[in-house]
Amino acid sequence: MTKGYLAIVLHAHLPYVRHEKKSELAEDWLYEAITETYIPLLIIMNRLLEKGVDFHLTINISPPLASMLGDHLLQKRYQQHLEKLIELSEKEISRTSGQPEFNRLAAMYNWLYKEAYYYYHQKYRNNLLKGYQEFQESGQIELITSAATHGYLPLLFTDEAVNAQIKTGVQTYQHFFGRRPAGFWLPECAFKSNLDAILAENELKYFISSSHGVLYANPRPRYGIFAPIYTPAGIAVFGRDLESSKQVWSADEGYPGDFNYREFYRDIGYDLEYDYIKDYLPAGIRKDTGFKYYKITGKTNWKEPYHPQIAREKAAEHADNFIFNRQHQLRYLNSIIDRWPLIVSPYDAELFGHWWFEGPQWLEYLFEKLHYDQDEIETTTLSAYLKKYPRNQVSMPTESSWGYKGYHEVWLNGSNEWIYRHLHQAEVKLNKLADRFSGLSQKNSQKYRALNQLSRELLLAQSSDWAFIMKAKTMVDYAVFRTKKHLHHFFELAEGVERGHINEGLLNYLEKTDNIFPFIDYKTYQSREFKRLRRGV
Amino acid sequence: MDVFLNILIILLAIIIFLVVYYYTSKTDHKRKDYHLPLNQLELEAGAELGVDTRDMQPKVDRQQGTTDISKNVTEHYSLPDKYNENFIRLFARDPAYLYTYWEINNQDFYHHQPVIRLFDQSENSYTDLAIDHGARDWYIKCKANNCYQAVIGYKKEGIFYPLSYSNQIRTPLDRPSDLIDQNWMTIEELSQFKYRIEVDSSAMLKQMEAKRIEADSFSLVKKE
Repeated sequence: MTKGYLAIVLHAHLPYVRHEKKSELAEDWLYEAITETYIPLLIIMNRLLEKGVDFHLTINISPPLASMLGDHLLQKRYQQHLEKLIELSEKEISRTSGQPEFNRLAAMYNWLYKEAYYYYHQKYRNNLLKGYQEFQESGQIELITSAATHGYLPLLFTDEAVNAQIKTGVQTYQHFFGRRPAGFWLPECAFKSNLDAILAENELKYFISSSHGVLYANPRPRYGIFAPIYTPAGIAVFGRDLESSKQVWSADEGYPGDFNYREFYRDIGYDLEYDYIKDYLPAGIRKDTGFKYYKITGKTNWKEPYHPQIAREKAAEHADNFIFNRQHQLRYLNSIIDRWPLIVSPYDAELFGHWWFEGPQWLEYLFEKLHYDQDEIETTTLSAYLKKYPRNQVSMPTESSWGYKGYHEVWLNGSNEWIYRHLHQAEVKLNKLADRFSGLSQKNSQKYRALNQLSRELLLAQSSDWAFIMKAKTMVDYAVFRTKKHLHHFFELAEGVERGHINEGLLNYLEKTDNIFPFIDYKTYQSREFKRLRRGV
Repeated sequence: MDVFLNILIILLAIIIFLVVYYYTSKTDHKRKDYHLPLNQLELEAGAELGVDTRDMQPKVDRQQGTTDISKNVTEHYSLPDKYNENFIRLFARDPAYLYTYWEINNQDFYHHQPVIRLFDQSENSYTDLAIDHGARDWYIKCKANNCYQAVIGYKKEGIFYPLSYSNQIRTPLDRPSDLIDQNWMTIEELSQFKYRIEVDSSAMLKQMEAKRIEADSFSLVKKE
């Protein structure tokens, strides 16, 4: 008999890093994530399907990521990138011919990349979205959407800008998957009251909150995070389970730090002679290539060669451990909850494969073992759970995020607070322009195009990634560059619209480079008295 | 003589150690991270995550071939220093701190003591914060689950002259709610008007609060 449900939620997101110029460093984020996460996830799902394993999970492909995966230029470039990787793997096989321990790893990468190539090019014709869509159509996964550019919604200023982020996210989903999404991934699980009303207005059925967002909801939710709640605006909220996410992440009980797993920080992109490797580095800059030959080994710099078979066994062991702990959790919950409780485990998708090489294997084992070896836990998508239990407690989650310290400090601190003044000013400006030019009807007129492009520039500048990178101090220059570039162009173009002197050259250039959201309409930014969601309050 | 020789040897050893230490630490820190930005998890679990500890990084020279990307490009895209408007905007950073930023273009403001008057609408009181002329933003201590509004202005002979009013906000909760009333329903039931009348204390409270805020903000304006 089933005792409860497990809902794995994978949040796949990258900021929009498409550049007209080839071999921009940031574009490599996309390639890495495709090779190491997005393709492997499709591969394990295909295998599970072949084996007849009944599995369910919810996947968010963020709108900027979907836009990149669906972009022909990037699709073509990635194919070339993968061809280069295969070429490098062949060079590696001959280079390591005298070192059997590395040689079989080079052969492994050669095989992995060829397999990836088969799935990417032959099976899905360069469009991975098709793959995910197929799994949604056949009922294993539920795809959900997110804010247009993963904007950090509580730190936007106007409701119109929030609505534009949400609405454009929904439209992007419709554009790529041909139907309306039911679920919404709140960027960084960042919630603030009134967001629920705007989400509900966009006909979304649920979103996912941080744990304390639900635990501190008002009135206090009787089942805590183990059942959804409804906000007064009429949208369901799922709280993130802490125990299961800690299990995958923490150093004490966390899986990815196991000494037998592959070491992320040893890569031939750094380790080998520059002349040998430079053709495989973007713009010749040293970075990860994906060829990593060592296992974590221990806490010191001493690293030993990686053994895939031993790592595989570990992944299986960890999948068992995860199930064992969920069973205990559910048994306990069953004693206090009068329905089948739900454990919601959201993760960044890129954890699986990119950061934790064995992550996809672990997922595969997890679903297999859940299917064959036990009968207490069933996997579910979030919509399916709501369908089973449509009656829920009414309560309002509190403002929060899943970031460090639980609120907004990661995205609002000394390193990035300067951006908000400009971002908010752009919101206000676009809102005014949208009102002033509310009567435009010729979609291909210069002014209409300019106003649409203003919306794109604003959305791109709002990506929460820029504030995050400024704080995390990884590629700060790039994040500052992107924020300033989009805002600068925004104000320049806005001035042109105001004065009736639009710089056609600039407009053409921006339409070509920042080509996201072809369906966008600036009228989304018009002021409106938001419908009172429920009469009365 | 022997003593001097010993001291010399020890000194030499220390110098060599320092030089070696300096160079190794220098190469360690220069490493740039071009990895995919691992969202929230990096910070949330960063220290916890076994694979991400500093001492695991290999001691190889990662300098060759690296350049600072887009540095000069950044300077190319300037943003305005000011927008020639008067405004103050208020956000809750967390249950304990508010963030506010403003722009004021007013001669008097710059000739007198600039002040932010923070209205605590749950207690129907306010506090005045003296700020600097040069400041553009401020973090202000606050209470959880409370309503606030900021007014920026200046003080002249003890009288407060308001120049701009911020948006009103409510700060997040930092603990489970004390309210334990329960209402269970389906979305359909929830969307029906009846729900509002069937005494839901949170909705009632909200209504009462909304009225109070209205009353407060009215008195707030009148007070000045």
